[in-house]
Amino acid sequence: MEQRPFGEGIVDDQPAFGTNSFAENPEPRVPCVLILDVSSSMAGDPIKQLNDGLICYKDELTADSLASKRVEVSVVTFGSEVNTVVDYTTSEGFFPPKLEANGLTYMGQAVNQAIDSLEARKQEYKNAGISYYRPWIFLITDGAPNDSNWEQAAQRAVEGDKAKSFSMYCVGVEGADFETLAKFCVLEPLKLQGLRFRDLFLWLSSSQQSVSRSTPGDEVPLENPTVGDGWATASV
Amino acid sequence: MASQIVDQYGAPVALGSELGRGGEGAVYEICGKSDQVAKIYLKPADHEKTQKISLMLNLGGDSIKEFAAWPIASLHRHPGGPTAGIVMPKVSQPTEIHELYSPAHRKVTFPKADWRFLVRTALNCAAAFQSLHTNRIVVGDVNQGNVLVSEQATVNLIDCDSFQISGNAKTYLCKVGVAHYTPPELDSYKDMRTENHDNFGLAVLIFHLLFMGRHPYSGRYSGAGDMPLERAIKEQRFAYGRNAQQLQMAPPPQCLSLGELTPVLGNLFERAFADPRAGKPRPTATHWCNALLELEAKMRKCSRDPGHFHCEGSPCPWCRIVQQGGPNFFISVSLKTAAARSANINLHRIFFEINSVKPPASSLKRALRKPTQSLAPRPFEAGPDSNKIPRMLVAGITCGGAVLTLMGIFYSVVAYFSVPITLVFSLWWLILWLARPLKKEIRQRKATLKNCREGLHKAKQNLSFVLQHHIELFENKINKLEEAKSRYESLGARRDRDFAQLQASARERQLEDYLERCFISSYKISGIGPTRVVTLESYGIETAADVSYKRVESVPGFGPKLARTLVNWRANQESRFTFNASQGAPASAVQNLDMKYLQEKSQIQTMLAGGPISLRAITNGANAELGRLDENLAELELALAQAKLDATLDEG
Repeated sequence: MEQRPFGEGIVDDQPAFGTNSFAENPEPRVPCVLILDVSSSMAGDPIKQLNDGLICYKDELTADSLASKRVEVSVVTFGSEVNTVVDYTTSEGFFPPKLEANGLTYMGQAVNQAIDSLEARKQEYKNAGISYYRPWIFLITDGAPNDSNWEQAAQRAVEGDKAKSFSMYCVGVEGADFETLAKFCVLEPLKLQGLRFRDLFLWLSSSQQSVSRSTPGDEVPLENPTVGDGWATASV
Repeated sequence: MASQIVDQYGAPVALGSELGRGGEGAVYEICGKSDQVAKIYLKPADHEKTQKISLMLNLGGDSIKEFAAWPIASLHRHPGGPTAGIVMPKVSQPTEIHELYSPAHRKVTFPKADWRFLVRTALNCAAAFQSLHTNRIVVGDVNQGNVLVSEQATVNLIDCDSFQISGNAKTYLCKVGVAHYTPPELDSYKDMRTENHDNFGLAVLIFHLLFMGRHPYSGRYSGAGDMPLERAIKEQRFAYGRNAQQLQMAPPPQCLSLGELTPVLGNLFERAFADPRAGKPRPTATHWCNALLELEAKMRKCSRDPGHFHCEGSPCPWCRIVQQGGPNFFISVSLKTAAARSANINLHRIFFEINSVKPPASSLKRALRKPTQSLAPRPFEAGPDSNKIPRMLVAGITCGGAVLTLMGIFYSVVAYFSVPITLVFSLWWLILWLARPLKKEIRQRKATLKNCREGLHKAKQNLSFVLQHHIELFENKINKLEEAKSRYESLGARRDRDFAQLQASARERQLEDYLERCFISSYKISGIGPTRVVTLESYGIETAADVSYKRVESVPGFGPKLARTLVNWRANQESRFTFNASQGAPASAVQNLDMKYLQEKSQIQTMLAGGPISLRAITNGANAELGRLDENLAELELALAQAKLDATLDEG
């Protein structure tokens, strides 16, 4: 049969909408927790570049109409205390925080908090009948954990990664203790070249855009950030 | 792109500016042809693809070219060379279908689209698939990005070069796919596709459109662990179907249900997603066309909300969802059509009605006071003293025994017999005396009286408990309505406050931008020469935005005096800043704000308007239950009165 046109219509141009409501945006979600080091060693240029990178990350996600509905970001920072500075939100409600560096490196506690929050978030998805992709945890640090039971947190992260509850990525900035960092993930930790946070977040956003175009549960081959002009080098 | 591009006849094709770029190639304008575009592949097509495209050039009928970005010509780097790209019709309204079926996006991209528009789009999708299937063309890679929707709800299919085409005794496969739209029985994208495979993807698209972007297999999974969508599809866990519960699935909250469609459509969805009889073909595009036409004929306008349209035969599902605390999915339509109409409700009238609803009350006083005067004690049922003779006999023997015992004082031998006999018979007499029938009945009557008293006490306690419970329900509801009222009354003020905040943050952002353009180096500030400017820069202090007393003072060589100078300079710059209100809060943010408050308003209105009805329902339900309890109580009272009279009756 012939297609039938539907009356008349005018489009207003306006970008924002309620993507954080499960009912209004039932698209499957790609949850992503960024665990960011804000200990005093990050002070100065590193923290500034990190902040700029986050802004760039938001912009990239917002620009993609599908990723803006599917990718949900949460940010956990760790210095002397661990804070969830951004709770799970689509790019619409993601206002990159201005992070300031100070204090020690309570990495284990931060990893625990991130995994707890992911589990809670998954339950919310289940209650709302929302499908989800394998969550991402992205740990970025320039040091080594100072807290007492980081080994337990590291083991929990590795087990979760192995059980495919989430994918764990560890990125070390110059000066990080890569040997310790390697205990937090199955994959080799990556070493950030210089302070290329911007490129890191561009890569993260484009990887998540391709993931959000695949199907929940699919394996998506990610572009290797260590080859060519990538932002990372292998840490070993 | 230079001019060395030619079409299959060797005629040059001049490419214009680039319009977009994807994984497969880039799309360019064609100079002089506004209705066509050129897609240039990133790498030249291989032999098979070249063949496929030349076959497509011969195949596509005019009816298909009307809605599909079908190749019109092939492009080559030199005449007769490998295919470097294609020419195809330009789609003027490139809105991907997910921007329509996603409620969040729809409010922005299609603010006027109500459910009729979505149903019509679904119909047009089915019509497009029907055309293709009639021509033995299989789409293969159905997905949310290659169906585009126009302002008139007509659809265009793009990426036609991935369609599965048959001709010249060969089938050119599709080879790609997106799993959300891939039927459970297809193992690999490299496999041969059938129309039945397409019909799965079509059914998912139609479901997305009708069910507010929900996926048929995304539901509330009650099993343990994760349930990825891909697995749910493989296991046919249709969350809305008849068998959903057995599959540990339930529909998500705040959703349309199959029962709110026509029975025919409900059945088609069951057959497309949940039919356990393997091998039975899914509904075809023609089935969907007919069923959607029927739905259009049965479309009704909601009496309450001008943005709501629904299928006849059930109450408005969109209002139901709002009442259940969900969003108003068509708020943008309601906003457009009802904004002019005064949408305010008459709070005074509603609360007059609310206040006139009587709270639940016990009707005890009416039910009670059945005449008790006419009651009379029931005569004893026990007949004549039936054990009087045996009692007297036993008494006689006892007395005799007693006499013998007295005599036994002198003849001890006699006492050996008489004492036990006297004791046994006196005990027997006692038993007989106690068991006189009349006494027994009097005792029973006293026990009944006690039971009646206790029963009545319990029933009274229960009644007051039930009454209390219902009064609490009633009062809670009243409180909620009162609270909704005050939220309703504060809507305007809250909206204005948020708006002011938006403006304030816009001002702050503008100020920040302004200060960031005030470079220290471009101003003459006393005491800050070029060397100091360089020092400041090396500490990251370049513009007025970077200046603070603490930051400047921490720079070596900068004391309190210079710090104060710079802070004053910054204040001076700030005072020169003027806020540009026209560049204030972005229009989209303001609109979002209005939408949010309109949604809240409509929710509260629905709740308040239904207030008197739900209050009455509470009272009526409570009074029915209390009435039953009252009846029961009255009966107990009556029984007690009777028992009291009965208990006063004496042997006399």
